[in-house]
Amino acid sequence: MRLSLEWLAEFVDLDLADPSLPDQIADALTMAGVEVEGVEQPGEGLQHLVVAEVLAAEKHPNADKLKLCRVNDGGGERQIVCGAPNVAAGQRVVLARPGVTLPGGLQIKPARIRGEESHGMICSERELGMGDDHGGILVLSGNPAPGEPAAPVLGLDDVIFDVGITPNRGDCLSLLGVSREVAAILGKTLKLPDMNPKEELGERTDALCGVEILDPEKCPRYVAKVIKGVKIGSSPAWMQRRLRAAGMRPISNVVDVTNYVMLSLGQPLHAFDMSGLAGPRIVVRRWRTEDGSFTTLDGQERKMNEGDLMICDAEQSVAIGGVMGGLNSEVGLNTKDILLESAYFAPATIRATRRRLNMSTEASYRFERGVDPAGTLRAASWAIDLIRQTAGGEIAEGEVDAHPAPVRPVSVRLRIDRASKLLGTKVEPAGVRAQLTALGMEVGELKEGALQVEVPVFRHDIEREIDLIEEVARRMGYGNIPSTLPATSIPPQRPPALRRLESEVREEMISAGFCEALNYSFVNRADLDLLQNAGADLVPLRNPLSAEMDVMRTTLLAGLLENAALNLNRGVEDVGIFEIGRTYHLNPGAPLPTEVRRLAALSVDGAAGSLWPESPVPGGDEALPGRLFDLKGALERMGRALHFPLFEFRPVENEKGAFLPAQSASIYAGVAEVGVIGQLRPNLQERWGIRRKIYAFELNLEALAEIEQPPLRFRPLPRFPASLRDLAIVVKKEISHAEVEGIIREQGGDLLESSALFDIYRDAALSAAGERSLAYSLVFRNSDRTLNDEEVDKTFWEIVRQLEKRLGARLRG
Amino acid sequence: MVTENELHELAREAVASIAGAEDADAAEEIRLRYLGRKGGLLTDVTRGLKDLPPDQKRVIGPVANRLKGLIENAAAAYKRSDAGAAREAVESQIERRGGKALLFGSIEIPEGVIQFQDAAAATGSQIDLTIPGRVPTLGHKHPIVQTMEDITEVLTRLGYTVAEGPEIELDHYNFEALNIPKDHPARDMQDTFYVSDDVLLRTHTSPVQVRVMENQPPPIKVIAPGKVFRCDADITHSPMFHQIEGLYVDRNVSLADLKGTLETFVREIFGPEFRIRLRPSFFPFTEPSAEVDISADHFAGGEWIEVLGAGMVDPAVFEAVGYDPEEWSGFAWGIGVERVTMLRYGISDIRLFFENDLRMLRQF
Repeated sequence: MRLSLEWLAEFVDLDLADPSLPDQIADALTMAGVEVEGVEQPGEGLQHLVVAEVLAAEKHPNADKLKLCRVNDGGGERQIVCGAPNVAAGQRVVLARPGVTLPGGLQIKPARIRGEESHGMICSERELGMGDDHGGILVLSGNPAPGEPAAPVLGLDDVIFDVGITPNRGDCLSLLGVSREVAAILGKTLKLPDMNPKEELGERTDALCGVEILDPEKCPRYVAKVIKGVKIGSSPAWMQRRLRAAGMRPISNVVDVTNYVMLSLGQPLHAFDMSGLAGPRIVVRRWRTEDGSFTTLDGQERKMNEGDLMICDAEQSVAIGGVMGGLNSEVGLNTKDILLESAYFAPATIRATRRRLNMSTEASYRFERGVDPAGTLRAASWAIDLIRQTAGGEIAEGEVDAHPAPVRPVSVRLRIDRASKLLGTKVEPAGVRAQLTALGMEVGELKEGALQVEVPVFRHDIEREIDLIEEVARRMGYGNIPSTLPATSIPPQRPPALRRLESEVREEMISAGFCEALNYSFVNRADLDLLQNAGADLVPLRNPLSAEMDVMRTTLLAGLLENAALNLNRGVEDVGIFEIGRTYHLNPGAPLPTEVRRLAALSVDGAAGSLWPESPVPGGDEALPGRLFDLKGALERMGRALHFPLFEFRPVENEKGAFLPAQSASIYAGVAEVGVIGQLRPNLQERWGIRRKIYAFELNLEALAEIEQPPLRFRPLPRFPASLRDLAIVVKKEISHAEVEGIIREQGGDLLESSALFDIYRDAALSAAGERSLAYSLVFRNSDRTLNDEEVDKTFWEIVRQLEKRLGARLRG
Repeated sequence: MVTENELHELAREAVASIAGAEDADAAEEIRLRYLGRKGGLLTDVTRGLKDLPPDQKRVIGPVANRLKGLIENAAAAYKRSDAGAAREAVESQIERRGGKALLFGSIEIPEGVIQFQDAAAATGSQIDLTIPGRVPTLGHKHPIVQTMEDITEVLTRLGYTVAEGPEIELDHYNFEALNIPKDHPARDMQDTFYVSDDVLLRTHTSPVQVRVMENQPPPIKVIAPGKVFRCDADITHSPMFHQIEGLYVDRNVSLADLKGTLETFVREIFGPEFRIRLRPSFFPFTEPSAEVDISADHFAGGEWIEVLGAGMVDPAVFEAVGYDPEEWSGFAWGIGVERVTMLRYGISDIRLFFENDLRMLRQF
């Protein structure tokens, strides 16, 4: 909300001559919880502009679209070339003389334009930073004297505060409300303008119209006043200036008055053209099906429903209560008689309607936050008088004040001791009394350590003792509350197990050289389809930010692919990234979807060469993809570091998913399947525009966390020497390393301490035969004694025999 | 024909020169001088062995063979640029006994005869150590995660325990139980993503407070870090961001305690020179509520910068979870991790965090 200092001074006794006043007010309001988000001085840079009178405006001899003007700037006459179509003799205008620099940076200099001298510039709204209107020069109303500084005439010598009002302080959505705060904080007096109508000469209002409230819960009070014979025109300059300062466009005298009073007092008003009202009679009731749709004064047709509160005449709806008036009774140029509405609507009903219609107006914004139920009549009286002053007409006597459900002030008990304890500082009853009284509350005598406080009805935010304690703290100033550390100590507990796992896994991935990414939890459904991850468990968003983010992710791969593409497109080659985060899965029958924590990592083939070559990849003529084995290595290292049972990699059973079945494997830890690793399908490369092969794994951390880990125990170091044997065999290439090693382990039994694959070999002859050679180095050891060669040989040959028998292997010569 | 003494002299010379070889080429030259097929000094000795009388043969033969082996091993090691192995090949054949160095256990080598070249010089070529090191690939933690861990670490030291909750939440926990009924204008403070009427993406980490309080009796001292979601996107707003929520409930907890806790926390995270300022504000689930600003002379031109929201737990929240507000009081606060990270590192566009450009990530 924008507030003008000049206008504020009408409600609070302020010394406008004090140059520190704007800062004082801004600081005081901010520290009292009415945050001043900005202080503007619109006149800044305009001090040197003056009022000038246009004496003559004639066509430029050498240009069709220019005019040659003579103006009086108070000190004398000067010639100016002006391009505005609307400049005319007799106007009062704003003049920038040579030497002036305008807010936009434009420097005014004497110039010769198409052969004619020009000594200055006549300004438009835009050049003054007042608006976007560049169609013509700004013409001043009310005959200010030439040579006078222009800024005050334009109301630009003012200071504008931009204040943010929290949703609980509906009472501060007005000049009066903020003034009340300013007065209380600065210890000044609040003064109100005289708001009583001077002349009520017409017929009695209740003879001219009736008001009936059918839903007093939604509308506890409705005041109608009438004025007849107004003449619609523009509002006076002072009112326009204040409306502009508050950020509103002047429209017409009657509409401007309703806005002016709303900005002043916080009470939204609506003026009906009485000729558009049947009856004339006002009925406040809920919408009914037979009412049909309703066209608001912005020309929009609105679909209503049974919860909406409508203002109706004897026949039809004429306004959506508290939100917007109807086109059928809008005040226009020919309006003569006016019915002015000032009502109190229940906040919840206004909120429900305007939310459903997805619109917000100045009126609904205030009703939603609660206006002053006791100020209804005052606002109507003041407004009707201002209409008379600005648009003429005769005010009808009295008013119709339907008030079926009066809002009663609440009385709250404030225990001084309680306040002291909660604020952590000693609170004095006398101080509290003074502070609360300054805010318009009535404070009783101290009884049994407590004060009974009667809260004015405009303070909708105060109902309980805690609300008063907050007022006390606010008025004391949070800066005056001491700083202490809580005395008691609660023994800290371990973080949740899954969280610990997450951070352990993170450290491992980072130390393996991967960079951590964070992606949005929502993704494009079409992408999940491509990733073959859009199952029946998909969780769609009802109101996504865009179609690109319309469902909750079921895999982390979509985000990582996006990141890889972005980096490659920007020329960042060496992509090795991971993410730790949740995926979301519909869980019918449960109140909430299931969230599964996962780790995914992704790497792209063929990064540009570096100074040091990558380690050579084994495998002879069918080179293994190094990047994929980097990923696998990282995973294996992580498993070892975290003491998980050795991961096993088995052929994928489910052929669906993001991975190519023949180039991927399911990851098992013990008996549990915990994830998948491999090469992604080529259509994903296409979708993300990545030409290189993409490798990835995705791991279910919750499954991993569930694996039982035996407590870590020290194994005594071996005391007896080991016997080493190398084993090189040739097998069909379909036989996996895991199968070979399985038999080695099985046959090696307790004697075999370890086996390690150290070579994969394949020459032309082996290739032709569809074979490859695998070489293992085996370590045999007995923890109780030195092994002799015969025992080791016996086991070694048994291994060989089994490999021959079960896998068709043969020893490589 | 050599005598034993001549052989010993030959051995002393050979060992001294092979030990002092400057590089592989020099070692090869030495090898050829002694073992060359034609005219090799030691070759001649071994060739002549067959003509020696048996007792001489027994004395000369083993020494000549061991010397041959020593020279070959050392020369081979030099060839591999392994000066250490060359040295080892020599030294392994020398015994030290009674203050004397004895080659093959019997040939005395006077002090100073054997002078090894140092390793680098021995391999011959100079090493340019200005060449960049072979850096193992360096991984990087996401800056948001880093900040979250830092904040969590400070609060853990202050005795807080980490708690977690679902990211897709019930309206009840995200709003109702936090004193934000359906028709409350405060709902407009947070643009919410909905899954259904009652299910939404949590807009703050505050629902974790409620879940914790529902599940355990007071006293409570927890923090809840995590992702939150709001339907909003521009240079300073992201539809997904991270918050850390703190909650402390005990007997006699006061606003002064909140102030002291936040002061400690801010100084730990931003630096000891930082000041804090609490301004009254409004959150439906705390009362009194405060916005917390920080400032320091060298920071943001000395301006007050808003970093977090805080307040005393509203009695309505205690009632919703069955705590007696007369007996228990507490405070809660929430801090935006992106905002803190942006302030810490001078990042002005929040969207950078979720683009995951590696050139950005690798800076942290």
